Amino acid sequence: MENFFNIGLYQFLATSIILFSIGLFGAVISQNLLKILISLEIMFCAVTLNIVAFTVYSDNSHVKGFILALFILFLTAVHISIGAAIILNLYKFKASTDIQDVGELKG
Amino acid sequence: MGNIEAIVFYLVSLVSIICAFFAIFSTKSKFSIVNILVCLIGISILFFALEFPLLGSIAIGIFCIGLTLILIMTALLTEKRNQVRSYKLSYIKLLTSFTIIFILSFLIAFFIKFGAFYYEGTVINCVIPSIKELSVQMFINYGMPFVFTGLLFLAALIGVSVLMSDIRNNKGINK
Repeated sequence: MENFFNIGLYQFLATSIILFSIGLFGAVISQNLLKILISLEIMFCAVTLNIVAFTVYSDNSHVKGFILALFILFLTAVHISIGAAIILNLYKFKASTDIQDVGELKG
Repeated sequence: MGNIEAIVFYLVSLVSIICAFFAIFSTKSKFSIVNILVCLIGISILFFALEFPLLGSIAIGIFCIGLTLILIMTALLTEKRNQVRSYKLSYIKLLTSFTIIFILSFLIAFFIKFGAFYYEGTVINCVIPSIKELSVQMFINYGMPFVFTGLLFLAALIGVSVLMSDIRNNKGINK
């Protein structure tokens, strides 16, 4: 029971890998562009949590992990804004957010 | 971590995982967005639990901005011409619930933080990097990634504004 209440690196890693798996599964099976964007965001957050957990439990200064996590959060904001704009434009052009309807972009 | 903090950790992790699952598999986009909002705020609370309150605050801000974008996008995509009034009402409800969840998450995060401070009766010697240390590191040791991230932001801003101006002018991508 003491091990149950002793929170360490492995608990954070388990949470992170479960979230990443859910995001990856959603990104693979979803047919909606919006849900793919949401899945990517879940994966980004799982990676950020992983980095912060490793920083806390392995680095003394905590600065490198903090800055790396900060950059990942900024990139998350960038990819959300770009993805949202692209999906809106595709909806304007195709009147659909289904991934099957944007197959012309292949190649 | 103490027992209460461990229970809060398991609770927040479980809620985050369940909300991520329902965000992927819910059929209605509004439910999906509320679930992803709760999931990301739970992850931000985990940052607070890892003694990174500044990163948790920034994460909550960025997630809220990004999710507001997705919310607006979904509202625009699901807008129906003959239901503009009801759409506005539901949109106000969503924003209100969003604000309430935002305030509650901050309260829970500060509760976890102060619980960590007073757990053993004394203030824990925190190793949180200060703003000064972060700024020195960012502008000296990590200057180039900082500049490249800024350029990436600029490119994203220009791209989004171009795409949105095409939408406003009733033009598609290929026109």
